[in-house]
Amino acid sequence: MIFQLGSTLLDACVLAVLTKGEAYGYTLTQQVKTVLDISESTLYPVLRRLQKDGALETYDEPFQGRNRRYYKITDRGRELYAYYLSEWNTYKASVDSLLGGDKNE
Amino acid sequence: MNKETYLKELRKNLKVLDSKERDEVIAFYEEYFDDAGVENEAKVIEEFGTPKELSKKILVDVVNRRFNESEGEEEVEDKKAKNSSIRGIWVVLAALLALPLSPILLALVIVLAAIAFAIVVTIIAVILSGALVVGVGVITFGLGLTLLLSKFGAAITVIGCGLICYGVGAFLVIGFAKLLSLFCYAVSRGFAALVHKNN
Repeated sequence: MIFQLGSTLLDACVLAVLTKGEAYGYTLTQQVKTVLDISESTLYPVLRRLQKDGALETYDEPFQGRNRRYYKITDRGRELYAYYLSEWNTYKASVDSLLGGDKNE
Repeated sequence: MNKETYLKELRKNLKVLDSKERDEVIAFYEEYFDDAGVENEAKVIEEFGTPKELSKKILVDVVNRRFNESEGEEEVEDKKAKNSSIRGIWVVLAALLALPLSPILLALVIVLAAIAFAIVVTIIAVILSGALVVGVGVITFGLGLTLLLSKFGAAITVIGCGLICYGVGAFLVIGFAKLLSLFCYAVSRGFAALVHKNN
């Protein structure tokens, strides 16, 4: 992707993935990566930030003799996601109107 | 390089963080390695970058997170505590030096850090002397007590001097300890603002 990805948009994408169900670090990264060109190292800070903000919770589950940390969206996270989504739609619409592209609508 | 050496190296590069924070970072990346599978180890390392590169990103983010105020009450307290220690300054400074700074800014940061260091050392010296004065006060007070029966007047004078020393010393220790934490907080905040601006 040639367009720069801001941290808020990344937050929104992670929240979007988590609204579809909880996930652990690796699958979460892979899922975000199918859409966005991010490096693996970018996601840890995002998850930490969202957790600190109370947008997601974690719990550990044993898996093959080690712990796997799962991430789960909270109510606050859902609110945040809804807010980001509406902001994104507004933003997308205004960029589209300027660029003259309405093919995605 | 394999997973073990990579994580070991990463841990070494994150020494400035407190152990709890560091353990969490390492746990996350270790889990990632495990979930990716041994066969993908080299690929994961390639995507993470060198341990040094990765640690820089992590440090910058830690500082950014502390700088942003959008957290709950307890979190702010926690963050304040973290920023008002000498370690807080180290973390911020490490993050700052991890960023690509212009030579002028870099020189400025080094000078400011040197000044901050001098001030911290001075404050610590005052605290230590304060502690010494407290010690002297206690000893003088004890000495005065032993004189109480034989030479009352002198004893009262000596006890008084002891108490004065104790008071002045305690004031120095407590006052300057407070000053130190305030100063560390201000410096951390200042450098964190620089980190925030430059990334």
